[in-house]
Formats: sequence, structure tokens, C-alpha cells
Amino acid sequence: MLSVHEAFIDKLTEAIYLLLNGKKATLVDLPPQHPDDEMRQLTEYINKLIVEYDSFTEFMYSLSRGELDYDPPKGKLQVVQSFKSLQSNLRHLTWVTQQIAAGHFDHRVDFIGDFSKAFNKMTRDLKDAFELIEAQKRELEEANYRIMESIQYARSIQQAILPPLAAIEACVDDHFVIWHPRDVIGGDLFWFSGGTEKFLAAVMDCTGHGVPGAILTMIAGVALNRVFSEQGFDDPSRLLSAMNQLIKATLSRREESSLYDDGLDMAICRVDRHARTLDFAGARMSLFRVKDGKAEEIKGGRRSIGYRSSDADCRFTSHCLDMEPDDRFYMMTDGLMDQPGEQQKMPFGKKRFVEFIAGNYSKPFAEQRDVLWELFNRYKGGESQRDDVTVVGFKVDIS
Amino acid sequence: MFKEERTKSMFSWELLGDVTEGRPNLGKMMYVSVYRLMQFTLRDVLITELGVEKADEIFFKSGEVAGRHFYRNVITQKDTFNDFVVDLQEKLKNMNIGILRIESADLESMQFTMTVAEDLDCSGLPACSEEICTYDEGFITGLLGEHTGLRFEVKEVDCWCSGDRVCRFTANLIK
Repeated sequence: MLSVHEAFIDKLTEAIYLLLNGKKATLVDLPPQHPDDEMRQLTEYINKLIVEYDSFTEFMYSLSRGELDYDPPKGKLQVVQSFKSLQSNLRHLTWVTQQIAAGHFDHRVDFIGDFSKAFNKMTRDLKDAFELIEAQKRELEEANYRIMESIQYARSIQQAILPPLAAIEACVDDHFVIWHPRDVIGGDLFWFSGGTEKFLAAVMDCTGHGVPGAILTMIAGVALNRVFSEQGFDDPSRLLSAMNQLIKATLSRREESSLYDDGLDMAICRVDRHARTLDFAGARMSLFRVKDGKAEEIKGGRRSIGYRSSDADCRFTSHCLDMEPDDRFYMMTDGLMDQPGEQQKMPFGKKRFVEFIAGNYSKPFAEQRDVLWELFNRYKGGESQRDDVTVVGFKVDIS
Repeated sequence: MFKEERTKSMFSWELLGDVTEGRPNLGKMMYVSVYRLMQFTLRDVLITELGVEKADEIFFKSGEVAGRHFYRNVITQKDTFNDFVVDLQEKLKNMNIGILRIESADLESMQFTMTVAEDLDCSGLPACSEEICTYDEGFITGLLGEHTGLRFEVKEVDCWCSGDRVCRFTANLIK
């Protein structure tokens, strides 16, 4: 007959009670003198259950926190094996997900119920989307290549209409030109025509930049050549008026309802070396002169050229300047002065330019160009170029 | 051909014959229990004749030869590790060998952990506290060795027979 102390039964009951109530059970001790009977056997099994349950609890707790590298317990409890399978599947899913994230879209997961279907569909959709994006990217790159090839070709055409160095040197005794479109091609244009005794010099800033700006420069260049061929070394104000009428007429076929309105700003000088005079007229563009180390601005008119809003009969004003031997003259588009800086978000500004020419006018023009361009780029810093930039400086020796 | 004396492997894939031609009515499938019947009676005799250690060695070596030839003749996507794994998983599934799942793969240190569920050799066997998939260890050794050109130590760390639901293998580069 098995003899059991009530206290032992209470200990076993307490252990089971604690397990069932989510508490940590302590191992049940039997005194060493307790016989090797069914009671000892039951106690040992319950203690083994407590140990395996504790290990399983720790394993589950780590799994619930997503700690997939936790070493699972070794026991044979079916519940442990089931959760080991779950951990194994999660490890596998993690690895497959990492591979897919790295672009290996051919991975699939199998036999994990509805999850497999959903996951594999997501992977296929991702692959389709990725391939679509890749195809679109290739198309865009191809299109971009063709466009850039075309624009590069257009640049060579645009550069061909700019006056060659010899034509400029035939007119002035020293000069520099900065012509730097924001894009490959741009809406700025400079123009020289004439010879040693008498010449015209002009700078134009057409609406916009890039391709539309460049097309407008072609129109403006042709128009100025035509005006010059018809009127010769006429007064600059009359040349501007003629340009205004011709550009307006050229662009007049555009529908009234069009959202676009195009034209240009322009500065033009007529130099007569023998008469020692420079006549200037401007359409929203100024001439700068440095005389005796002092820079002054000769402002152009407030009207632009060629816009729908520009009056076809608009009159421009010429300023007649007497040239002195050491005079230096500068014309520019607004791309230089309007350029914001990386450090200071303010534009480069007229004051900075005026200070530059006042401080550097006596240097050779090639050196002035280099210093000015370095100053511009230093100011610009990491900011992108905002607009096309053109600056023309020159001097005319007077005996 | 089959019974020649040899000192090194003479196995070739052609020795498996043209099953389609040879079994026009019964086809290329058979019962898993028949495969196991051969494997475990063979194991039984080998252990009887040579002992457990030698029998295991024979199973491992034959598994490795099988793995190498399986790679050469069945696996077609071999450019990258990912291509290889995807193809291997697909082939093992389609040929009803097992469900391979990679748990981790470190291509720097060449350490891998993988499981095979519903393994042809052991799934459903009575629990006996033994890892018995020695043939699989050799098979994986052959596959990895053939793909990488390196030598691996593959060890089964969990097995259906030792009470788990899947067989888990670790593979480590032998330096």
C-alpha cells in the first residue's frame, strides 16, 4: 500500500497551480529518505515538466520579441516542436525577404498556407513593378540620350551664330566675353559688327533658357542682322525700335490665347572711334562704364522688345557718351546679378559687380574675365546656376 | 558496368537509365516507403556486416556522389548562389525529395543553415533520439562543394527521428 504524506500532495498541487496561473513553479523536493516508489516517480516527472515548461516559456518569450536566433529547447514536447517549426519558417522568411530586398525576385516560399500565396504574389508583383520601372528607366535614358544628342548639335549651331573672335578683335582693342548658358544651350546672345573706326556691339537676353531660349536667339540674331543690313550704323534707339517691330511681326502668328509671350531684353552700343563717341540704347538692360576708376551705370529703357505687351511704336532713348582714353565698357544679361549664393541666399547683385569693375578695370580683359568668373562661381558655391550668364567687356583706344 | 571492380567512383547519370522508356505503364513515380525499404534494409545489412560507423561513412559518401551528380545533371541555374538555391528548391520540391528552406547564408564566411521538411529519408519515422539523415548530409556536401568548388562540413543538428518536425543542417567551410 502506497503511503503518501499530505504535504507532498500539497507541494505537487501548488506546482501545478502556479504553472496554470502563469507563475514560475519551483521544483518539488522529496526528502532523501523517501522510498523509491510511485510518489518519487511522479515527483520526478512533474519536475521534468516544470523544467521543460520553463525552457519553453523562455523560448516563446524570445520568439514573441522576434529574437529568431534564440536556441530552442531540446525537449520532445509537441508544442515545443511546433514552435520550433514556426521559428524555422520565420528564419527562412527573413532570409528570403532579405534576398528579395537585394533584388533576387525569383525566390518563393512554399507550403506555409495562405501566407505562401500572399507572399509569392507580392514578390511577383514586386518583380513586375521593378521590371516595369527598369524598362521605363531604359526608355527614359534612351530618350534623354537622343534629346541630349540633339541639344549638343543645337549648341554647335548656336555657337556658329556668335561672332568669331576675329570679328570682335576687328572692332575693339581689348575685350572679354563670358557666355555661359545655364543648360547646354541658352537664350543669351552677343553680337558685334563693323570695324576699327565704327562698330556696333549688342547683348541680348531672350525669354527663357534652354531650347526655347536658344530658338529665340536664332530669331533675334537674324532680326538684328536684317536691321543692320537695312539701317547700317543707325542710332541705337532706332535700331532697337526696328528690332521691336520686327520681332513682334515675326512672332505675331502666335494665337492670342497662347499662354506664352516671348521677347527679349537688349543693350546696343554704337562706337565711332574717330568721333570719340559711344551711343547706347537699352531695352531693360544697362551699360556700365568705368571712367577714372569710378563705375557708373547708364540705364536702358524700361520696355522690352517683341512681347505682345510691347508697344509696336515704342521709342527708345539713346545716350551719347564722349569716350575718354581709359574708359572701359560692360554690358550683361541679368543671369550674373540674379544668381543666388550658397552661403548668402541673396542675389549676386549689381553692387558686387560695380565694385568688381571699379577694382579690376585696369587689368587686361582676359584677366578680368577669369577673376569675375571665379568670383561668380565662388559666390554661387553649391547652388545651381539660375539663368544664362553673358557679360561683355571692352575698351577702345583713342589716340 | 554496374559490377565492375573499382577503386574510385564510376557512377554516371546515364546509369539511371531511361525511366520513361523502361516504365511506360508504371511511370517514374513510386512509393516513398519503397525507397525507404531499400535504404533501411541496406543500412541494416551494412551495419550488420561493417558496423554503424562504417555504414554511416558509406551512406555519407554515396550521398556526396549523388549530390555532385545531381548538381551537374539536374540543376540548371548556377550563376549565383541565389539562382542556385531557387533552382534547387524548385527541383527538390518537384521531384518530391523534400522542402528546402534556407534559414541563413553567410557568403563571406561560407556558413549556412537550412532545413528540409517532409524529408524523403526520415519524415514520419519513429522517434529514436538519433539524427539519421547521413545520406542527406553527404548530398548537401556534394551540392555545395560542386557549386562553390570548396569543401564543407555538413552536420544534421535536428532530425525528425530526434523528435523535430524538420531536419536542420549546418554547413561550414573546411579551411
